[in-house]
Amino acid sequence: MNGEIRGPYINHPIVIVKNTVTAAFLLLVMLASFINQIGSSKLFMGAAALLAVLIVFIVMSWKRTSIEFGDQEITVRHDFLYRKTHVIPYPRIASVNVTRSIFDRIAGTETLKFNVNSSVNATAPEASFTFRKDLADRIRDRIYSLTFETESEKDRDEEHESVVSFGPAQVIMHSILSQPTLQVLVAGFFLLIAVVSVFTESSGGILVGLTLFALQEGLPFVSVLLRYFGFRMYRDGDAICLQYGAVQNYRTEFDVGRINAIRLRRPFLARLFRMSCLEAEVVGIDATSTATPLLCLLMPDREAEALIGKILPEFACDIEETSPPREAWKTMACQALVFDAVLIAVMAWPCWWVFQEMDTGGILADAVRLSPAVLTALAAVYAFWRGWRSFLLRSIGFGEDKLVMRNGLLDREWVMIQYDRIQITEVSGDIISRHFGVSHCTVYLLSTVGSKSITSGYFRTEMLERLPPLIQGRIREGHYSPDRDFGTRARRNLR
Amino acid sequence: MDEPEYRRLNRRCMASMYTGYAVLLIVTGAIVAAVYSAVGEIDGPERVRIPLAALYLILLAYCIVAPPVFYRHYRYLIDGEKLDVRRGVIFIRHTFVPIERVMQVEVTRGPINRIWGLADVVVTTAGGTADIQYLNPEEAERVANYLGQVVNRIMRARESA
Repeated sequence: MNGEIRGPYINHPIVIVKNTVTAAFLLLVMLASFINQIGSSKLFMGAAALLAVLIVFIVMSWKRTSIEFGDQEITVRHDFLYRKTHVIPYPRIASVNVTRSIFDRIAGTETLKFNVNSSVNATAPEASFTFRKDLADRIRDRIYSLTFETESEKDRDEEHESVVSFGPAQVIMHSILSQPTLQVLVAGFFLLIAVVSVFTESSGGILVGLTLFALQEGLPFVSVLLRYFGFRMYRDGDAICLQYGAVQNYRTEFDVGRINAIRLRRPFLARLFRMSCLEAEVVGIDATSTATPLLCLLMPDREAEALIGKILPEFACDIEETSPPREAWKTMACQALVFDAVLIAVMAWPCWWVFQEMDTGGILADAVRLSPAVLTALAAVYAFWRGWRSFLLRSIGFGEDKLVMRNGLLDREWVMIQYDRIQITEVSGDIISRHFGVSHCTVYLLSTVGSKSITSGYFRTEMLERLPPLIQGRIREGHYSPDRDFGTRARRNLR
Repeated sequence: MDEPEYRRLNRRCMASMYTGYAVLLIVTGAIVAAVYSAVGEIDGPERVRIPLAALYLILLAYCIVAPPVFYRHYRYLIDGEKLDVRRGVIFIRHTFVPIERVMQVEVTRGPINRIWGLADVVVTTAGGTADIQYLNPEEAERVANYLGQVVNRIMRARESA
């Protein structure tokens, strides 16, 4: 490692300000909760004392946490309250993410987050340090030159144009349409409560309805909007680079070899506009900031599909997909029958009771009397509809080195998984499906946010049972390469 | 471990399951009894009591029937390449873990398993965990040692490659 950046370094002092402001904000929130129970002057005294103690802790922790960039590894040392030395060999580093919060912008700093391939730390970086911007740039460039064999990131950002570009209107559209349907429905329900409360002149109902609507739909909308503003994505050799963020800038870069699966996601609202977005399951990037990385925001279906061939030719392959057999529909129809029988047995008496006991007269009163029966009938019909749509929409395909699945009813997804990244396979079926000779298949793999499972619809059991020997065969033939999980290039460079 | 063929569990697994279910039935029975007496205060208590009693009877029937069915369905196979477990009562699951993916192997013994002299082997991969339940402790240790040796061999082969 270059001597001039060896260190050891401690965090930039802005970290003290950042942590103090965060602690003060949390204390303020707690104060607001207890202000009615305890006298306000005592409370403020106590809070001030607590904040003073916290500041001492923050300063001591800042002073006694250091990072050193050795020839073979990064060493992080904590020596406050507990003593801990954390060594991260360069070959284990999967990505170095850069974030710039408002504090970083004020102080002219950057926060570097070093991520490794790990299911344990999938949602948090292995180490996170804030440096002066010029120093952060030099550190990052040096680590990238070791792990990705690439030139300075700043040069490449200027050199490469984004493969996809999205204007503010498209980001706003993505923020609205990409929300999961269930979340939208729940938010819609809260909005309905607020609207009904306007007519019934219930101020409490309006406030509660609007607050819950804002939490359920407003906050995620703003969060997605701010996160993906200025979205850029390009590929340079084997590295894919993502940049975005309005308030907090975010930049990450990962090797294509680290992608375990790709997913075309089509939430219900987006489907109405024939739009989808492309996601990649990548291990070893800080999921707290990104969740599953988006390779593009919502764009027309055809363009999103074409983007796979453009940016990820490794995943552009035609795999013949098989639809569920007739037995799958028979299975789901029988399951719906059983569900309906139980539902009717459970709901018959409550429906009858509400119908008998509630006041009659007026449209609203009649609607209330009939609502349990109507809802039960709708649930019973939904069980059949769900089975039928699932039969029509789902599919599975076994390629040479990849598996594809089409899942979902309202929010649909098409996912392509590399066989060599599947960790556990499970073929399962209940009494009814076994009778018809069909089963589900669940594959477990390492994802951006830890382990993840993906389950297929009902397909012939003997077809699904082909998957485990297929995976085993590829391992036997040496296709499974652990090097891809542990930084091939970095290992090669350090030899 | 030389013959890679499906193996069955020790019959004591049923005793361990019955013990676990007995504890479950006692706890849920106490809750049901509490609710049963509490609903005496409301009008038409039988409307709550009958469904409650029916649910408890279904649970009781499941607890009686499940262990022998579980024992009959349970099969596991370990060879140099994979861990393969078939199990279930209502839902039958066939779990397959390539040994190449195994990161950690551990033997666990809960209090009920200790009473009946049984142990579980838990295998951890990057994508989740799988287990072989209700083994004799000696068998569990043997399985864990075998898996550990195979994993070490694979890791050494990777290192030297």
